Order: sequence, then C-alpha cells, then structure tokens
Amino acid sequence: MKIFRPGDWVALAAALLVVALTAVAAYGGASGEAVLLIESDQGRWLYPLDVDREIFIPGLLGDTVIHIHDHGVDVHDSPCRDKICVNAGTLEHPGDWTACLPNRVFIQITGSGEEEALDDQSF
Amino acid sequence: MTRVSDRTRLIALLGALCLFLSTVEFMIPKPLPFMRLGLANLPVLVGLSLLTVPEILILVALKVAGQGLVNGTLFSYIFLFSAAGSLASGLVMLLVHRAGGRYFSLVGISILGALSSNLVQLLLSRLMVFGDNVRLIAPPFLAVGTATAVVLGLVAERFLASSEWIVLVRKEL
Amino acid sequence: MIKEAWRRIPPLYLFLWGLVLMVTYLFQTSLPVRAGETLAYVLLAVLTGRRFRLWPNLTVVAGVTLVHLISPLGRVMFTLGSWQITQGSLELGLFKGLMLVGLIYISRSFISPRLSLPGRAGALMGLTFAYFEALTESRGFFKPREPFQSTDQLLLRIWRDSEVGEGRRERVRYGFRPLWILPPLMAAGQLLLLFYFS
Repeated sequence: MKIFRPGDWVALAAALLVVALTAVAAYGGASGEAVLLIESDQGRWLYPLDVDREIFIPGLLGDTVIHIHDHGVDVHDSPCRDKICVNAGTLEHPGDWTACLPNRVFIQITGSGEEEALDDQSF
Repeated sequence: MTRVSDRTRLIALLGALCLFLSTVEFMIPKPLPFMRLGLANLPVLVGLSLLTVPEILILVALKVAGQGLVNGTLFSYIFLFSAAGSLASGLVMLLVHRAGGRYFSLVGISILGALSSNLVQLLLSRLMVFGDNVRLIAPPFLAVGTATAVVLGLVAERFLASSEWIVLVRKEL
Repeated sequence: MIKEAWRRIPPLYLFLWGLVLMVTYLFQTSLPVRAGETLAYVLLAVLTGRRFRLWPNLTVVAGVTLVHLISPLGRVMFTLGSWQITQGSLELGLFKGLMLVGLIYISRSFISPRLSLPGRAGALMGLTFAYFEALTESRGFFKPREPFQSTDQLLLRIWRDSEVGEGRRERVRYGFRPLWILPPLMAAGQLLLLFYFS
C-alpha cells in the first residue's frame, strides 16, 4: 500500500464526516413539519406553510377560499351563510384548526407539536 | 510535428479522453441517474503532474465545453451542474496538488475533488431542480462519490506508474 | 435524409435558434404543453440522428418526480402507508423532470459538435474532437483482462499518429435548404403555445 500518503486519510475522513453530517441532517430530524391539512366531502389536500398561497377548496355549497400568508392560515371567504369560519382568526400553530360546517370543509395545521386543546379555539 | 506543439497535443488528447470517458459514463445505466462516477476526472488527475497551472485550467475548460457539446446537454441544467462541479473539483484538485502534493497522493486529491464537485452540484440542484428534498439524496450521493473517487485515484496512480505513453510524453515535453 | 439535410445547416444558425427555443420552452407553465413539446424535441433529435434510449430518460423523470412526491402539495390522490401522494407534487415533479429531458434533447438537435470557436481556442477544440473521434473509432481496443495495458497501447498509437487532426478536415457544404425554415417555425409555434396556454 505504498500509494497512500497521510493527506489521503485526512481527505477520506473529511469526506466521511460530510456524509455523516448530511445523513443526520436528512434522516435524523423531526419528520413532523407543519403542514396544512384540508378536508372536504370531495377530498383531502395538503399544503406547506412556507409559501404564500391562495387555495380554492370545493365543498358542498361551493368553494371555500383559504389563504396561506406568513406561515399563517386564514379562511378568506366561504359560501356559508354566517361566515363564522372567515371570522375565526388566523391559524398559526400545529393543532390549530377551524372549519366551515355548512360547506363541509375542515382545516387544520398538522405536524410536530402538541395538538392544541379544543377549548383554545375561538370557534 | 512542427505545426502543433506537443504540449498542445497533450492537452487535446487528455481533453479527448475526458470526453470519451464522460460519454462512457453517460451510457452506463445507473440505478439512480444522479449517481455520478466521475470517470471524466481521470485525465485531469493524470494531467496534474504533467501540465502547468494554466494548462490544467484549459484542460478543465475543455472538459466542460466538450461534455456539453458531445453529450448534447449544453442547454440544460445538467450542463450547468456538471460545469460547476468540474470547475469546483478542478480548482480544488489543482490547489491541493500544488500546495500539498507531498502529503496527498492522487487518491486524496481525487476524494477532495469529488467532494467539492458533488457538494456544488447538490447545492445547485437544490436551488434549481429539487428543492429542499435534495437533503435525502445527499448522503448516498456523497458516499458513492467518495467511493468512486478512491477507485479513480488508485487507477490514476497505477496508470501513471505503469504507462509507457506517460514515459514517452514526459520525455518529449 | 433529414439527418443529412440537418447537418448542412450552419451550426451557428442552429445554436442561436436553439437558444431561442430553449428560452421559450422554459417559460411554458402548462404541463400537458410541456409534455408535448418535450416529445417533439425527442422526435426531432431522433430524426436528426441522435439516439434516444427510453430507460435512462424515464429514470430521470421518475427520479425527479419521486423526489418531489416526498413533500406533499395539493390534493391527496392516494396514500401509501404514511406517504401521501399528492397531485401538486406529482405535477411539479413531472414538470421538472420533463424539463430536464426536453432541454437535453433541444441541445442534441441544435448543438452541433462542429460548432467551433475562432482562433486558438477553436483550433484546440478541433484537435480535441479529432482525438475524440480517433478514440471512439478504436472499438475493441479495450481488453478487460489488461485494462491498463490496452489503454496505454491505444494512447501510444494515437499519440504517435501524425495524421490525427491534420487531414480530416471535412468540408461540409452549407447550402440554403428548405429545412432551414424549421427552427424559426418551431420558435413561432412555441411562442404561440406560450401565448395561449401559459
């Protein structure tokens, strides 16, 4: 093995270290990133919170419009009569949820972090 | 051979080898298309001890341009990735060879070159194609790259030691 | 036939139109249109003599798509265990994967190896390609039992050969032909598609 020189082992060690670090960063972390879950009678939807978005969810009465904005979720508009969901405030933490019952739309932020107790909600 | 200098011919032949090897690599079916073998780095490794710094840089440029033209990927992101990777690894290998050549054989140089090339490519593909999920591919990609780098370094060393052609070239230059 | 006619188009002309096509291709946002355009480019490359092997390209598209499917986006289509397969991720993955393939095949048709730079850089590239041809033409030189020796012998032979790069100056006659209209036509088509679908 007269090819190898001391620096080679340093290089190899460095490379293996990088591999290990990336592995830990990729596989060892918490797998419960906060994700917006929406359910209606017509399906289920998942959206990340890091990109601002406007989402149209078809429900029983029509489309509920949901905004993702600054890592928070708002119901912007909905075809229900009382608009309770629209006035429910912004969802921010995992476990926060709201719903438009007339339109059969259920909205919740899932992910790591404890489920908030129901009585924390303003619904 | 008075029309073209021997040094120029050497660069051209090494460059042609780069193209040839990268074509070979392009054709080899791989389980995941992103597992790069880096075969095209072999001529660069060999050239480190034969060429001057500017000449090595020209060789790297040749390798990059040639790959884009021959594999027909010049317009694509793949070209961008491989160009950035080749540039990074070329510079790193050059630096290590010139600054610390006593302490590193071509194996170590190859490992460091592959590491820089792969990291650069991972970064670019995260920004341009894959997004954050690249993290998941990174460890096996880097691991395979390191392993192949070791093999390539050994091949380069063995070739330098046993090649008649190299002996002839060294004499003529 | 098409292959020969295509070779008679000046490389620079192809290169510039290729750039235009690449840019208009990239701006397209509709997935079905992109799929169609990608298919068209693959077809063109095959017609002009380039090879298309299904397996590697399929793997590229599948790989990129899979990586995107890891992060859920949009409507959930079905669930595999704890993995939610979402429509948005699927579309995004396909979109990006097809883009990679499309760009490659645009390059394949519109970038000619004979595209040369002027001056010494061009001369160097020319010589490099001449050596490259010499290497690729030496099929069967490689003996797996003696990899180092057989390669070494080949290199020695090419190195000593004084004819490589000297005489093989193939004069390709670039004559104006009807086929020249194809790249601008394609560019116009893509612009229209961009207009209507993007």
